[in-house]
Amino acid sequence: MGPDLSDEGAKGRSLDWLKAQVRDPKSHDPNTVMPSFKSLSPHQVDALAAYLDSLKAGPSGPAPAEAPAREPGAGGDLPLGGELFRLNCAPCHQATGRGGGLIGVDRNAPSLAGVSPAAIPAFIRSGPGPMPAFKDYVFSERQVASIVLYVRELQDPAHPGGFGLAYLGTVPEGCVAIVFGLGLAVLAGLLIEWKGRG
Amino acid sequence: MAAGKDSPATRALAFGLLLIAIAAAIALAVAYWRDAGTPVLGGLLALALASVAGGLAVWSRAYIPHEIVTGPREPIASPEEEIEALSSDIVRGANSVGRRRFLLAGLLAFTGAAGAAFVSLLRSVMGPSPQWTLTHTSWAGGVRLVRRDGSPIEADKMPEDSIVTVFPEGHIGDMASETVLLRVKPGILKLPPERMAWTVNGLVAYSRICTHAGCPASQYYDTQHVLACPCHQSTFDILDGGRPTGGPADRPLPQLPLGVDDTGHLIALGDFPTPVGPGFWSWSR
Amino acid sequence: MMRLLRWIDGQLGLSRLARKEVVGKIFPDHWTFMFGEIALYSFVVLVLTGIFLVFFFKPSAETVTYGGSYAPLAGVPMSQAYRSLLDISFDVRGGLLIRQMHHWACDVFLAAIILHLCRLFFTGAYRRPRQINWLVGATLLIMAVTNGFTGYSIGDDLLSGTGLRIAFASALSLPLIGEFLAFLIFGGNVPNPAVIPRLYALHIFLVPALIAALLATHLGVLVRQKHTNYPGPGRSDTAIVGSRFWPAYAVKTSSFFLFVTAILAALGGFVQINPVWLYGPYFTGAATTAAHPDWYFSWLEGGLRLMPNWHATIYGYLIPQPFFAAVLVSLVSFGILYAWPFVVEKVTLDLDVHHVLGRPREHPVRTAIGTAVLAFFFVLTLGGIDDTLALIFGGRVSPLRDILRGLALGFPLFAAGVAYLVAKRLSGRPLPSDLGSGPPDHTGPDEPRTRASD
Repeated sequence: MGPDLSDEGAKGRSLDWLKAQVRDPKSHDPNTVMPSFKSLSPHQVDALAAYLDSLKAGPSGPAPAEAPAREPGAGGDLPLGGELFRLNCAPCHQATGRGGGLIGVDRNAPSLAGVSPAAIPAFIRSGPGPMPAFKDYVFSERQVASIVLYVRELQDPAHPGGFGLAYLGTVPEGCVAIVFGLGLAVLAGLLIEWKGRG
Repeated sequence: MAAGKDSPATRALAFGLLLIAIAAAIALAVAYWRDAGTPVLGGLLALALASVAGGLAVWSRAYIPHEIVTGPREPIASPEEEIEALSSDIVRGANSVGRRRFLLAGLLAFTGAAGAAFVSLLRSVMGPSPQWTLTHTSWAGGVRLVRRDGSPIEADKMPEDSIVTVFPEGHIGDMASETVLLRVKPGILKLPPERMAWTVNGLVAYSRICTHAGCPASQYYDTQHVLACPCHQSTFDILDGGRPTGGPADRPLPQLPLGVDDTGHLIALGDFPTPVGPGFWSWSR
Repeated sequence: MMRLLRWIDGQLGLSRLARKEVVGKIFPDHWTFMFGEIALYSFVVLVLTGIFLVFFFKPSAETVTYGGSYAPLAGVPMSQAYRSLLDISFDVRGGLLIRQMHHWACDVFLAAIILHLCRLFFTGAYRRPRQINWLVGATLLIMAVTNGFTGYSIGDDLLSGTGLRIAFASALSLPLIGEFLAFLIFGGNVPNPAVIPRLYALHIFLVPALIAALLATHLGVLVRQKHTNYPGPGRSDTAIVGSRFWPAYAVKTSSFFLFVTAILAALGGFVQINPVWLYGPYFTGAATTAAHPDWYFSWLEGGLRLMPNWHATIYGYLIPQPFFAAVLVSLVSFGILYAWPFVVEKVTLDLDVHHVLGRPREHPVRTAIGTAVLAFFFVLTLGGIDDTLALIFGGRVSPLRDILRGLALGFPLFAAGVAYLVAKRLSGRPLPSDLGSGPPDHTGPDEPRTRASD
């Protein structure tokens, strides 16, 4: 039976402790049966820890006024954000959010890697420059929050396969294959005394 | 040149490399069972293989003779008499077949018939008939425009300068019916009168499928009122009937006739007037 | 050893042949001769990693909901095929390593084939009697490219799904037969549920079987004809110079195989390739900028982007731009590739058998033509990535596209001129002393003498 968390925020634990508990419970109690949630992204862990920290079920009741400031993207749904992003945002900003070269306008779509998540809803609603504006009727609050969550995910994407090559797709991949793959192979061949005269 | 470069250093190097290879292979097995990440597994595998390869290379340099030898290149072609003999054998054999013409005619007829049967089989492989599929979408008169989540569009609630992807109600996700709905300021549309009748107060809809190679024409610049396709950079002027203004597309985006039903929601008044998406031979038929 | 050999010989009786054509086979040695080997060993890695992947990939377009461990796609509807790719990447131990090795091996495979092709071209290795092997090799190139395309398209992610649409439009663009051909290949309009299983059958069975058969032919012809030599002492159309297969060459090439596999393992482990989870599943309406195919298709994509909207209408029938930009360019390119040895023979009236290569500087016209072709495909390759180039270098796409259009016509001519002049200049000079010189250490017949008692 999992422990009652409704008063977790009043137990005097730091945010870092809560984050570590979510990511790797065995680091606090080696005998725990709680699974580790290391597949969550850092932002999800932060959001979860902030939520746990806000749970106070004492006589004074939960204190919304003392709750931490609303995390950008709160109330959104990450997978929904991904779908909306790929339908509406990726055509200009790229599926990985690294920006895109555009035709017919005087600027390229900027990379979203460095944009502050708190500023994203304003960009979506107002559509600066040639970017279209997505007002209330087009995107609900929840949809905007979902997109914010997804952009945050893209700012630190999962790269279990190693070095991400700036997430620019097949262009750096091809360069690496030719320069490193083929190049190293040729070097290896020369190393094995392939210096024959032909 | 005899085998050379045997020295204590070489032996140590070869031995050392093989040791590294064994250690890396064992470490790889351990890493696998401990669910190590891809870089660890790949790195250990690469180390093991490269060390064995290096060990073999060192061994080859030091202990294997690398004589350069020469040998004859015999002519590849057979003598003329052989080829003539082969040819005459083939021809003689063919000539010895009685009633050759009859046999050949029969085989030819069979090939023709089998070919026809085979082509009929291809029809199953082909799927639905192209002519109908390529020239019809799921849009029809009275069908409501809905977003991907199923919600219909109220005509007077769409903000100016906004853009939304829509589908026919009941056919969300149907590739050929993918449509883009835009609202611009009413006076700036440059459509001829019969096409203006297909708009509703500055609301205009076009097929979202680029007429070049079929990607969604999904980039929109609201300052220029231009729809662009990210695949090969075709651009379309949405004020002027989706006319291509640059890039490889050669036909305008088909316009969807819009109307309003009695609840104020946007509906289509019919299917697109021309086939959507990339062009094909009998496109205008 | 004797017992084993006696048993095998009793079955097949090939001892003499094995001595001459395998154990004692002479292989000329030069670093430019290893490109074909890199291709061969990459193919072996492709097959081995592919066998692993076959156990986990599900080639079905049926819609399922994701429930694996990658959170940003939780609950998202997707095809079985895409879901199995995610499972391989996140939930199968070692799966992502093998998947990435497989993809890297493909990119390196094609790079090696093309480099090998360039070496053959620039040294005239396609002349008699090697025209047949040139044809086999050209077909291998087409098969390799086809398998690369089917391989990354069966995953049904956003990027490859977009590529399938473009392939469909290209097939559709053919005059008269386009509609039927496109529907025949893809089983209907794209996307449809029949595509993935069809591409899968091609990718794991039909095309690899063809590649294997053609490779066996390719190597068999090579063994029959013996490898070519660069010009040098002792090397001629009647004498081959090199090192014996056993033990020297065999050990070296085994070591090389392991090195190539090690490099692919390092790439597969350390450098992420095709992160399909970041692209998401393909669904109607989804699109992305920088939608590039794998590198060896970029020239085709460049044709589609750079060529203006040239199209033809004949009595109301339409031949759209993709036909000219993609189909015609491909047909002409591969047509020239196949016909090249025969065209050269007709033009030079050279019907001799050649076992000694011609150095690029000795044949300035051929070198110039080859350089022009490479320059053309290079510009087209850049054209295929013009939006990413504009993004990286902070420029606009439009002027870059215009520049590349001009370069597509001008750069090949310029490059050909430069190559011609350089070749002419170099051919006047005497050969440097360490190239192609050095007498053989040991002269003798390549068929060792048999003992009198045999």
